[in-house]
Amino acid sequence: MIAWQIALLAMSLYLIIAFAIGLSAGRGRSFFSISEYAVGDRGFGLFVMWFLMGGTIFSAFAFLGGPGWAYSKGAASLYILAYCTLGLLPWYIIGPKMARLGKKSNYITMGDFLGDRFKSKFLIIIIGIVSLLAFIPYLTLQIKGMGYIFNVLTFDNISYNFGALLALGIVVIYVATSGVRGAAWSDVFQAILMLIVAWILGIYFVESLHGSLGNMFSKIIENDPDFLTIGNEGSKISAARYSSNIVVSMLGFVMWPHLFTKSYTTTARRIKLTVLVYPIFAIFLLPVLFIGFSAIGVVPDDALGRPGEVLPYLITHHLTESGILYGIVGAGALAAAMSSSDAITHGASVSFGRDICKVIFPSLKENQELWIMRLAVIGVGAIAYCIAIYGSDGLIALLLGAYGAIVQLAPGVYSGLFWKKASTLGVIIGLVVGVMVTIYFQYIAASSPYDLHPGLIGVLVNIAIVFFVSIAQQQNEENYAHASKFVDEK
Amino acid sequence: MNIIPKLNIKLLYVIFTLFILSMLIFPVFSIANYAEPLIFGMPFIMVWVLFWIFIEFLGLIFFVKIDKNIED
Repeated sequence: MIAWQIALLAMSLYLIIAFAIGLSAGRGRSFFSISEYAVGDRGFGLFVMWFLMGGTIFSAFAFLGGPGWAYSKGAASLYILAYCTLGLLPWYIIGPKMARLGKKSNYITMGDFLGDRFKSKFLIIIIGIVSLLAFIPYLTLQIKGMGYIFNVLTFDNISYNFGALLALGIVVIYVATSGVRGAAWSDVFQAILMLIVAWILGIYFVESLHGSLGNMFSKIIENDPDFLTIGNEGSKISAARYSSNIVVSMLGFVMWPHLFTKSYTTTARRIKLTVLVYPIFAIFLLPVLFIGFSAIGVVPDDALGRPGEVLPYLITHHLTESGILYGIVGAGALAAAMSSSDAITHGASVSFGRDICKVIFPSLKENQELWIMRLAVIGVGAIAYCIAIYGSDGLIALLLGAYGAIVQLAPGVYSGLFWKKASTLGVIIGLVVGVMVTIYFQYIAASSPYDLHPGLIGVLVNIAIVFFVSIAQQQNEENYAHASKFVDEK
Repeated sequence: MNIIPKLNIKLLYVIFTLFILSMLIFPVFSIANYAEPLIFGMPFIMVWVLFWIFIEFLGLIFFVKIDKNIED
C-alpha cells in the first residue's frame, strides 16, 4: 500500500471512532428532552468538563494558526498562551452563579438569562443574532481546516470539498442525534489525541531540524534580535495591540455562547475545579508554537500561500515517508477542528431554537423546539460549508468581524449579575453601539487609536453607556427587587 | 480557614486575577520583553509567560482549598 492510502486509512479509522463515541454518548438518554439535548440534564462530571473546555481551545486555529503565528509573528504568538490561561479565570466567579441560576429558572442559553434579568425579548433576539453571526465564520474556518488537511495529507487524492464534507457530515450527525453529550464525549477522545500528536510533532521537528530548543532559538535571535520581542523596531506587533488582544480575549472568552452555556451543564464545584486545571491546558499548547518556530530558516518565505500552511508544509516536506505518521498527524489535526466544530454547531442550533424561534413563536411546544434545534445543526453546517467552498476570502474576513462582537456581551452579563441599578435600556444601547464602534474601527477607519484592539474600544464605549444610562434612569422598587434575585443570589 | 469570609475570598480572587493579568501585559510585561538569556533553551520572554501560568495554577489550588463554598 502506498503512503497516502495508509494515511487515509488511519484518518478514516479516527473518523469511525469519533463517530461511534459521539453516537453512543446519547444512547439511553431521552431523545425528546430539550434539557438533555442542550445542557445534558445539568449532570456532566468533572472528567468530561475538563476535556470539553480543554478541547475547545484546541481548534483548527490552534493547530494550523498557532504554528503560523509563531512562524510569521514571533513573540506575538505568546498571546495565544496568555489568553488561554487567562480566558477562563472569570468563569470561577460567574460560572457557579450561572449554574445555580440556570438550575433554578431552567435556562439553557445566555439569552434565557439576560432576557429574564432585563425583562426584554428584544435583547434575547439580538443575542441570538450576534451569536449566530459569530458562530458561522468560526465554523467556516474549522471546515476549511478539515478540507485542507484531508487534501494535503492524501496528496490530493481526496478533494478538499469531499474531505470537508465527510468530516463535517460526521459532526453534524452526532450532534443532531446526541446533542451536547455527543459533542462532549467525542471531545474527550479528540482532546487526548491532539495533545499527543502536538507533543510528538513539536519535539520531533525541533530535534530533527535544529538539534535542540536552545539551538533553534539562538539561530532565530542571531538572525533577527527583535523577532522574539514585542513593540520594538523589528517586532511584528505593538505593545498596545498585544496587551489589548489579551484583555479582550479575557473578557470575551467566556462570553462565547457555546462556552457560557456550559455553566448549565454541571455543578458549581465542578466549574471551579475545571478552571483550576485550565492553566495546564495552556502549557499543552507550547509544542504548537515550537512547531512554528522550528520552521524559521527551514521553510522558505515564498513557499507558503499563507502562514497557516506552515504545519502541513513541514509534514509533507520534513516528516518521514511513513504513511502511518501522516495518518496520525491528520487524525490529530482533524480532531482539533472537529472538537471545536461540534461545540459550535451545537451552540448555534440551541441559540437559533431558543433565542430566535422560541421568542418569535412563544407557543412552540418542547418537542417542536427540539426538532428545530436538531434541524438547525444541519442548516448551520450547510451554510458554513457553502461559505467555506464558495465564499471569497474577503467575505470570510468580513464575517470574522463578528468575533469582536462577542466581547460586547460582557458588560450586559457582568452588570446583570453584579449591579442592581443596571437598566435594560443601558444594556441594549451599550450592546448595539459597542458592536457598531467595533465594526467601525475594524473595517472603516484606517487604524484604531493607539493601535488598540477594535473590540476593546467598543467595549469601553459599551461600559460607559451601560453606566451612564443606568445612572440616569431611576429604577422602581419592583425592578430593584427583581434585580436583587440575580445580584444577591448566594 | 473559616476566618476568611466568603466575600473576601471573591475579592481576593479578583485581585489575584488582575495581578496575573498585569504581569502578562504592558507596561509590566516590558521588564520581560527580552529574547535573551535563553532558559532551558527557551527565550526569556517565553519563560516569563510560562512562569506566571505556573504561579496562576498554584494560586488556583490555594483558592480551591480555602473556598469553603466549593462543596455543593
